[in-house]
Amino acid sequence: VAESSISVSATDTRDRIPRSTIRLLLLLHLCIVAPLAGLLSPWLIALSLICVAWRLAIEAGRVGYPGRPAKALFVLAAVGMVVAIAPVPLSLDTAARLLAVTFALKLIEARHRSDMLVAVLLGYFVIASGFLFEQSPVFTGYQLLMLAGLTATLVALQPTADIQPMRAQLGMGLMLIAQALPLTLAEFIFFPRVAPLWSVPVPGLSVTGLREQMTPGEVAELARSDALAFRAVFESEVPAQRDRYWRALVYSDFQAGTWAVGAEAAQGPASAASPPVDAADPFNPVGQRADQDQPGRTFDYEIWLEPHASTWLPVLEQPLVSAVSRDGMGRSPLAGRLGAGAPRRSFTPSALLRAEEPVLGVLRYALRSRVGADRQEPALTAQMRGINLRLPDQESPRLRAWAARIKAEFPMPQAFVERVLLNIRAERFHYTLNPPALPREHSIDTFWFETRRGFCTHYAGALVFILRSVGIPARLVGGFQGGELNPLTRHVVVRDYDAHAWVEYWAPGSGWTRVDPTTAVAPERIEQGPQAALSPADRATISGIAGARLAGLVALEPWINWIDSIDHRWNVWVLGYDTRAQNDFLSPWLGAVTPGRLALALTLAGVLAVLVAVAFPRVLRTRMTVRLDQARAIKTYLVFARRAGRCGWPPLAGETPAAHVQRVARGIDLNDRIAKTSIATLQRVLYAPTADVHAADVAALRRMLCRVSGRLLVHRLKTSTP
Amino acid sequence: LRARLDRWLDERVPATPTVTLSQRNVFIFPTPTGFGFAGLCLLILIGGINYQSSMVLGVAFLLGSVFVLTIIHTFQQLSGLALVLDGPARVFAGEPIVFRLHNLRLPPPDRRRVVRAGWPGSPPVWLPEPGAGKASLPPLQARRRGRFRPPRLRIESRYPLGLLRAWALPAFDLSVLVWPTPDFALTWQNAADDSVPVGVSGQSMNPSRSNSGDPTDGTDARPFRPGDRPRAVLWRAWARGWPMLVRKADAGSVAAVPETEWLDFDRVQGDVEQRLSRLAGQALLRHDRGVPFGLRLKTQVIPPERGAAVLRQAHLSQVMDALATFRPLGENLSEDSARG
Repeated sequence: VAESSISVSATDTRDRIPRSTIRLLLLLHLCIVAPLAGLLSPWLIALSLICVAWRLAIEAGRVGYPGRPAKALFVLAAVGMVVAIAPVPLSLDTAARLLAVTFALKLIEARHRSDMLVAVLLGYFVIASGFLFEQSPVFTGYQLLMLAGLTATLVALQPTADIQPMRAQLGMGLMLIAQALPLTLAEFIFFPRVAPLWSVPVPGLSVTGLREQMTPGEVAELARSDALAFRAVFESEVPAQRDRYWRALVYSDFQAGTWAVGAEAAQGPASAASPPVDAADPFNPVGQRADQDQPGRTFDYEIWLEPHASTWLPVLEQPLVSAVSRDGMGRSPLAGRLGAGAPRRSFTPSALLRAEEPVLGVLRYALRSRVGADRQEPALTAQMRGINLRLPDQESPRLRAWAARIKAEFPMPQAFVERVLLNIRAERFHYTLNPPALPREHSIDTFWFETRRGFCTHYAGALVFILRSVGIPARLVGGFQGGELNPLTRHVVVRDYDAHAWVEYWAPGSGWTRVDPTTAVAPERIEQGPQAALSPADRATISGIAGARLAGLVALEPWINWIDSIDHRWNVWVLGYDTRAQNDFLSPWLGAVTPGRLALALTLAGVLAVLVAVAFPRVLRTRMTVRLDQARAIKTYLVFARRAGRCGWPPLAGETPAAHVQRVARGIDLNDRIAKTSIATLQRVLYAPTADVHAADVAALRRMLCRVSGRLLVHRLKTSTP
Repeated sequence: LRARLDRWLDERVPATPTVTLSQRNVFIFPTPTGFGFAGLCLLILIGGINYQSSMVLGVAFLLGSVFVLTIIHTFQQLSGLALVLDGPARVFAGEPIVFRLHNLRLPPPDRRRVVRAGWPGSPPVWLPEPGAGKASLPPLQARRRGRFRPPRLRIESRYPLGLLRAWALPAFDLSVLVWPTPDFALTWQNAADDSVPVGVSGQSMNPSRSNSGDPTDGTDARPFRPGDRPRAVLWRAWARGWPMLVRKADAGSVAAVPETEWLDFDRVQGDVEQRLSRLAGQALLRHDRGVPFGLRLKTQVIPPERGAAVLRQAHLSQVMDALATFRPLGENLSEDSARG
C-alpha cells in the first residue's frame, strides 16, 4: 500500500523551542521594555542587554545556560539595582522595574517551552504596566503591535508537526488581536467602572511644568518645551487671547533672588468664603452678588489637565463656581478613593485651585470664571497683607530708594503702577529668553538699572518688589497666558511655552488687580502669543517642534491641530471614560445604568462582537483572495487573446471570451474535448459566484488556454509554410 | 466514579464507524497555561481598577477577549474532522496491532489544523492533513484471544495559543479478531496412538515472549542450508522477518508430523487457553506442510479441506477464528472480551 504513514511522535518535539521563536521573543523583549527605559537605571538596562546577549550566545552554542550561582548572582544584582533606585518597597515604578527585569532574567533561564510561556505572560504584564506611564494613541498602537507579537510567540511555542514560517505565526498573532478588538470594545463600553478596591502606591513621576519655586530664568526653560500643559474646552464662547490668563501658582516669598510659594501653601485651604462666590453657584447658597452687577464676563469651561505630579490646577482669571466635577477624574489613582462629596480640591486664599494630592493622570474639572473685572473682595486680612508685603531687608536698596521717590510723586496705587510701567516703556528694556545671569544679591537692582534684559518673570518679579517696597500688597502670579485655539474641536491648547508670570496688587476699593508688566515691554507677547515676542536670536535657541510651532509654520498648523484634536478626543473618550462618562454615554439607551442592565448589554454586545470576529477572516478571504483569483482568470484570457491576435485570430468587437475561444477552436479544427473543457472552465471561472472560484480552477484554465494557443500556433505554422 | 464516567461517555458518544467531531463529542477546558493566562487577565484588571487606568483596563479586556476567541479557535481545530480508523482484520494474541487514522474531511483551506491523536497512556501522533496519508497510531496489544475492540481514541488540540485543550474521545465501531498465540509444542492427552510423539520438542511455550518472539517456539530449528527441503522451511517465520529456518526434525523427513486428520480439543493437554494455543500451533504447522486437517472443538466441527491453496487458506482462517472465539461452556461469544 503506497501511503505515507506519518508516525512522528507528537511528544518528541514538545520541549525544544524553535530558534526563530527565541529570536522573536528577544526582539519583542527589547521593544516592550524600551518605553520603560526612562524608569530603568543604566545599570538595569545593561543587565537586560546582557541577558539578551547571553541568550543569543546560548542559541549560537557559544555558552551554556547559567548555572545556579550565576542565576543567583543575576537575581541579587537585579534586586540590588532596583532597590538602589528607590528603596521604597512597593511603589508602582519599583514594581514595573522588577517586572521588566524579571522578564529579562526569565529569558536566559528558560530552557523549555513551559518556561518560555512564563516569559510571555510576564511580557503581557510589562505591556500593561507600560500603560501606567504613557497613554497616547500612538503609544497604544505600538503596544497593540507588541501584544500581537507576544501572541504570535505563544502560537510559535505550540508544538506542531511541521515548522510554520514566522510570517504565518505573526499573521496569526495579528489576526487574533484584530479579532479580539470588537469584543474588547464591547467590554470597554459596558464593563462597569468600579471604584478602586484598595489604595495603591502612587507612581513617582517627576514634576514637570511650573514649579513651586521660581528663579527668573526657569520659565525660560519652560518656554523651550512644547509639552502639553492642559486643554480647556469652553461651553460657548472663547475669551480673547489677551484675556486668557490661566492662574496656577502665587509666589509670595522672595529670598535670595528666588520666588517661592511658601507661606501661601503653608496656610492650607481657605475657608469656603474665601473665593468670590456667585449667586448662581449651587454649592454656595450664600451668594453675595448677582452676576449682572459686576463688570466683566463669565465663561464656563472644563479643563483637561495633563499630569504634572504637582498639585496646582490652572484656573482662568477669577474662578467663581466650585463646580468641580465630583466623580469625574480621568485616570487618577486619587479618584473615588475618598467618599462622595469629600473635597478633593480647594481654593486657596489667593483664589487658586489646588489638588490635595499630586496630579498623576489626566485630570478633568469644570469651572466658571469671570474675566475682565477686578477681584472684588471686601477687605484684605491682616495676615494676607503681611504675607504680601514681606521682603528681605537688605535686598536691592537702590530700587527701594527709586520706588520711594516715585511713590512720593504718585501716592495712589493705580497711578504708581502706571508710572512704573511708563518707566519700563521709556527706558531701554528688552524682552528676551536669553537674559544675562543675575547675581544672587541685589538681583533686582542689577536687572532694573543695569542689564535691563529679561522676560516675564524678571519684569513681574521686579514690579512685585517695587510695589511691596512702597507698602502696596502685591504678589507674583505664575501660570499660562494665551494658548492656541484648535478650530476643529474648539478647545484651547495650552503648552509649557505659554507659561507666563504677572503681578496682582491690592488697591483699596477695587481689590486684587492684575497688572502685566510684560505688556509694557513686549505687548505682542500678550496679544499674539509667545512666538510674536521672540527675537531671531531667541528663536535660534528653540529647536524642534517647539520651534516650528512657535515660528508659526502655517503649513504645519492644520496637521498640528488635527493631531491635537485626535489627542483630545482620545482623552475625552478613552482615557476619561470613567463611571460618569459611562453613565452619560449609556443612559440614553439603557435608561438607568444599573449593573444588571450593563451585564445584559455586555452579553448581547459580546455575542455580537464574537460573531463579527468569527466572520471576519472569512470575509477577508472572500474579499481578497477570490477577487484576486478572478482577476487572474481574466488576465489569463487576455494573454490568450493577445497570442491569438498575433496568429490572426483577434477577438471581434462585442465577442465574449467564451465565443472567442470557441471560434478559434472551430477555425483550427481543434480536438473537440479540449475545446469543450476549456470553454466550460472559462465560463465557470468568469461567471461563477465569487465564493466558488478557487486558485486551482484558474490554474486549470491557464493550462487549457495554453494548449489552445499552442495548437493555434502549430496550425498557423502548418498553413503558412506551403 | 470512573465506571460511571465511562457509562456516561458511552451514552453520549456511542461507537460509530466514522466519527465526525462536533459540539456533541468535543470537550474543551483550559490548560494550566490557560489558567495562568486567566489569572494574569484578572491581575491586570484589578490593577486597572485600582489605578483607574482606562488603558490598563483595555489591556485586560483585550487579553480576556483573546481568551474567549481562543475557545472558538481551539474548538474549530477539532470540529468538522471526519475520522475513520482502520486496522488489521486478524492478529495473533500479543502481536502489536497498528491502527491507522484517516482524516476524511477537507478543512477550509485557510485553516491550519494542529491535532494530535493517541491511545490513553501512549504518546500521541500528529494527525495528517487530508490526503496526506494516514496516521499510524502507536501499536496496541491484545493479550487475549477473542474480539479486540480498540479503546476510545484521544484526539486533542491546543492550537493556537495553548490556553485551552479541546479533546474528543471517539469510540470506533471496529474490532480485530485475535487468534490464540500458537504453541507448537504438542502433547496429546489421550495417547491412543503410540506412534505419536509426546511433544515435538518438550519445550513449553512461554507466553510472555510470544509477541513477535521466536516463532520457532516448540520446534528445533536451524538455519537454512541449500538442499533443504522447501517444506521444512519455516515460511511463516520467514514472512515475519526471521531468517530462513528449517525444522531440524523435519529437514530430512516429513514423517515427524503426526498424520492425524483431526485436531481434537479434548485430546490436547493443558487448560483451555493452553489447549487452544497448541491446537493453533498444530493447525499452522499442518497448513504449512499441506497436511489436511479438521478441527473438533466440542460441538463445533470443521472438516478437513483438501482443495486448492485459496480454499485451504480460508479453511485455516475458519479454524483459527473458531479457536479465537471459542467459549468452553458454549456460551455466546461476547464481543468486549479485550477492551482496555
